[in-house]
Amino acid sequence: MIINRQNYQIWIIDYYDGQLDNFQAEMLMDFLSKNPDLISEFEYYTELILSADQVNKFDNTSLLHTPEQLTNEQVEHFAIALTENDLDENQRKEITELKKTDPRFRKNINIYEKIKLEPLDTMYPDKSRLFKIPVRRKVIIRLVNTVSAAASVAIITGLFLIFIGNRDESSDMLVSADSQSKYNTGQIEKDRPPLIDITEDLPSYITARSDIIISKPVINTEIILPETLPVNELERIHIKPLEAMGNINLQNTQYQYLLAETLSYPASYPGIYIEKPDMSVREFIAYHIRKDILNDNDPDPERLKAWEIADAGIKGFNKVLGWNMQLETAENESGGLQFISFTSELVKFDHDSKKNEPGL
Amino acid sequence: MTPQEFNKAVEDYSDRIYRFVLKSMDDSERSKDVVQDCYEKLWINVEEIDFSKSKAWLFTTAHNTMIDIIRKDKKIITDSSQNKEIYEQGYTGLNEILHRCLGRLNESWRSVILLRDYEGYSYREIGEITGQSEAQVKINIYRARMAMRNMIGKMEMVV
Repeated sequence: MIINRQNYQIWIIDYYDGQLDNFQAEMLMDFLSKNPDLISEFEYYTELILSADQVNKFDNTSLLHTPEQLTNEQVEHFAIALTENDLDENQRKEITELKKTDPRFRKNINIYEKIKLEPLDTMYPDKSRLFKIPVRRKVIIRLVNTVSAAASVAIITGLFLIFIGNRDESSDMLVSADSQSKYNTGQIEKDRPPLIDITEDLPSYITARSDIIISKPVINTEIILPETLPVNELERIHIKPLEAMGNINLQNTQYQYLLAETLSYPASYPGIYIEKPDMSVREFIAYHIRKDILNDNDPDPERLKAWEIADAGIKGFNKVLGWNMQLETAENESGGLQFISFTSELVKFDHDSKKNEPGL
Repeated sequence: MTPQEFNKAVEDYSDRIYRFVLKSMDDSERSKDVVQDCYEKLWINVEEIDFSKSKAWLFTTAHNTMIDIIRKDKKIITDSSQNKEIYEQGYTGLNEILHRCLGRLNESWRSVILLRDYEGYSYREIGEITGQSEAQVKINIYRARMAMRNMIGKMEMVV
């Protein structure tokens, strides 16, 4: 910046403040020599400079107050500062001491310590919607859901058919044969090829609530009865295994059964009431789905396989809706799925499976 | 941030964000919308945002979204408009009373108090979330505390 008559005062002030370097100071002096009317003004500025001893010291002790002199608002301010941890160590000690001696500090600090919100137990209700699921996992979940739904339909259909089927073929007959009977939870064997002839054994043992000895297992087996039972009032023989089937050796061992009950004996039908060994719900469902829906001649209560459930569902749909779908499967030696074929009016599908599908 | 970290952010922070917004707006449906909106924005920017900063990001986004809604609806209730002593209304439990008082604070005071007491944020962190300077945050917290104290009235009657 070039010095001129419009800005020379800034240069003079900077000169006295020591802000000009040697070159700039020489410029100022050169300017003053060319403008001698300004020299008196330049000298006047020397009188405006204060020396250190001329400055009165400010008495900051006037700002100090005793606790009694503090206003309520100031006390509140200190109380909040203490509870918000805004004070340094010395201030904190000082205020803490005042809390012990000064009732205003004590009251305010106590109050502001308590004016702190504690989070409520409110939870975000739609959290599950916020989670992001990888696409692959999403597909798997949908697949599992679909299969589960299909399995549920199949099971419900199967159970429906089991109970409806039993009513049609057995239970109703049982009830009609003996509407007074309280034994309506078992199985009636009739009109089937006899495999065991206990005709010879039975007469000697057939007394009410007595034991009979049968030389072969009767569970899941047809039994032939004597044409005329020796007990006049016998309608149905209720044979109950004394042991669980799992504990019985099935090979050439004598099995002891309790003749648990004898009922009135009509001339028309001498049925046998054979109580099945205890089964879990899962075994019960598996056994009856195989026996009543899949028409398995030798059903077992083992865990159902996925394709068996699907087959049961398809048969259920066919029966209920009149469709004509078919599912054919072949198992390998280890019981895994080797081949599956699905046929309907619209779709035909077959596939050689490489892996065993998991059971239900 | 990975999708797994995003899900962790949902697990860890969604309740906190919801509480913060709910207590600020006092409207559960809109609060749910705000939370959902926040996480949708987070998902859109999931690759740019580091997980360590996701909490502050979510609070900032929630605060800004909430402010927009509140200002749009002009639902701000100022302290001076309803400065009645709460204890007279028969509420029980100090925390409940404090939350009632909170509902009567103006929005900026309410936010800083919630972030301070619920989340334990520092003045600087609250300033970053709410867009205020550190000094403003401190002043607002002090004023909010004093306002709540005045609303409660004679503290010895409820404490």
